[in-house]
Amino acid sequence: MASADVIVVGSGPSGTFAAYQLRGRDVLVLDVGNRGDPNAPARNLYDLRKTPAGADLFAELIGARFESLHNIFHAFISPKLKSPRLQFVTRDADVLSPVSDGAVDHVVSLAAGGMANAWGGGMYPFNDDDLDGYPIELTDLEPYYAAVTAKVGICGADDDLSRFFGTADGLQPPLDLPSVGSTLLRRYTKRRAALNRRGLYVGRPRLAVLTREHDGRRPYQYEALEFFRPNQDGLYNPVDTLDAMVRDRQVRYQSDVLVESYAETDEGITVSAQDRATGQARRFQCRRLILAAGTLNTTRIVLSSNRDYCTRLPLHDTPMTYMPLIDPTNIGGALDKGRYSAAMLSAVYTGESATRPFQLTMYTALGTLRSDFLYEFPLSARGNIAAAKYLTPALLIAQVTHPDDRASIRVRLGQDGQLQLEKEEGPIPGPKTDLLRLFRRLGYFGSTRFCRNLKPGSSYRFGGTLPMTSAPIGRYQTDKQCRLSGTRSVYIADAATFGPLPAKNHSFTMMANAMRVADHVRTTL
Amino acid sequence: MPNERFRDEAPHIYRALFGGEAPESLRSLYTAALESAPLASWPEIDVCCLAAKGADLEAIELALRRRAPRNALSQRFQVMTYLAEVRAEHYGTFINEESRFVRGILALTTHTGRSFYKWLKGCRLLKVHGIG
Repeated sequence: MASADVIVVGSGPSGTFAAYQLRGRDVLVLDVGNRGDPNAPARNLYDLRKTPAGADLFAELIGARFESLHNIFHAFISPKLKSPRLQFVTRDADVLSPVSDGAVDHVVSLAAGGMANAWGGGMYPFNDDDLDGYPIELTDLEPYYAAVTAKVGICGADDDLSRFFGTADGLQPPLDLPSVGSTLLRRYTKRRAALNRRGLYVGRPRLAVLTREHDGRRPYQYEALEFFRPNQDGLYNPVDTLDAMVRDRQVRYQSDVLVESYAETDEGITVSAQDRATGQARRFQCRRLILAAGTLNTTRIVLSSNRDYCTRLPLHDTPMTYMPLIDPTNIGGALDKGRYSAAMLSAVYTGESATRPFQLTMYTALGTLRSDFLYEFPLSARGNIAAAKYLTPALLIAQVTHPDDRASIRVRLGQDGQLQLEKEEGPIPGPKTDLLRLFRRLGYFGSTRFCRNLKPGSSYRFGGTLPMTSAPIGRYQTDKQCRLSGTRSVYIADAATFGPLPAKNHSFTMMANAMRVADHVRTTL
Repeated sequence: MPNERFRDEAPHIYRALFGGEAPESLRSLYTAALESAPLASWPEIDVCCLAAKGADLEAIELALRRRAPRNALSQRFQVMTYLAEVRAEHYGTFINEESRFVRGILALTTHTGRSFYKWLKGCRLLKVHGIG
């Protein structure tokens, strides 16, 4: 039986940064660890598409098994997750980590690097308001935010969003903007005072994307292949940090292992897992266990270890609404082919209809195939193709993220090993009408008719099943150091320990908190 | 045989979308794509038969899509659109490289009017051909 002082389960942002903080100690990372094909094209998306590459390009953009056609026949998933080269991100999850299909959307990743293989790189620190209800304060996380920033390299700017995201000290300059974004920012600057009075603040996103060389990594190359290729230059992926630590023998890494449960005794902790190659059961021994397998997988491991098929745990997620907006002056605009395809601008809305801040992330539609969205237009098929051609340069998609205070989803482990997700309340009303009115003042027009409230869970940002509290009770809460109640040495280092979720991508806080937890674990060894 | 049916209907779908003849390789890909996935069961539709009667498939597709976005004819149109979009010869059909404001406005205005006409026509064709 393999053993280590500390076993970390999972290699996503949390698991990698927990291991990073413990590097040099006797640390073993256990992971299923699916990986993508590293031999991906490395040219600009539009240059590739103009080249008569035949079958090769078909394989890249559609896929030999027609993977990109997924949303025509099946329930909607993010265009990123359906593209051929990113299939590995969710591969095997429906078999190895099943979650019931129902009213709640979900994605589970068993890939090395986890969901960060398909992320847009959003890095937004929580502030004291966001941490209301948590037993920790911003000062507890600040040193770790700084450490993550130093390791990852984050771009951003000091602007009107600094009041929500902190100063841009230590950040790299922001990415180049496409014209639809620079127009919006220019108009916002002119009307800033009036818009701020109504609660709208616009600025540059904070992204784990390099605009300068950093830590031996090249800056982003503006190839616009984010939706088709893993491991983009400049876009941070935790698997690079993990691989470097393994290469330098700072941690040990065991892939092809699906952790199922743990048992704590006076001698330590025994971790039970399934070897994917042989199907045989395997066991590992450790003194401290850090679970960082992603909220759903971590919850499954904890419930399974307790053989608890009854308890329904609260699950937070941040609901999302898509608002397409058109700038009529940019209709028929020239192609901005060399731009980052994910977040272009961010905004925060704190107006009358917002009890807590809503965050908006604004995208162009330049990074996806036009076919991904052109049948959303109300015209005939030929009309839709023309609309996609001429409207795309003028199209701005605002992804409105809602805060979640209420944990309106419940999660339970079924006897069959399947996690059951149940939605308890109806959709949360958002400030669509107010936001549309404010964007109209900026010259961007939309309609509630074309706004789409995504299914609960579609943000793929879950948390809160094992919340950290100052006085944990029962078996499903954690203390301030994220040690699971009722255990001596089991720690949770992913978003399962978070409480109410602000309307922010919580990856940055997951990484920082994982380092904080690992720092504490180090002191107990 | 579904294989032959899909192969035979591919040129009609292509013509409705882009005009002209469908390349042979696209017919093969269209056939393989539809064989690999579950088409919606509604409505029962014979594309070749409708085309033989001279029916306007684009109009029928729009009328069906307005009733139910996920229907068997729109799915066929979407598959063909995806397959064509990634081909270099269709790059200019989908991508606007130069600044063309006036052309863009004209295209959108024309297609808005044309789509309204197609929708009315499609609604009538659904009744005439007993679809849906």
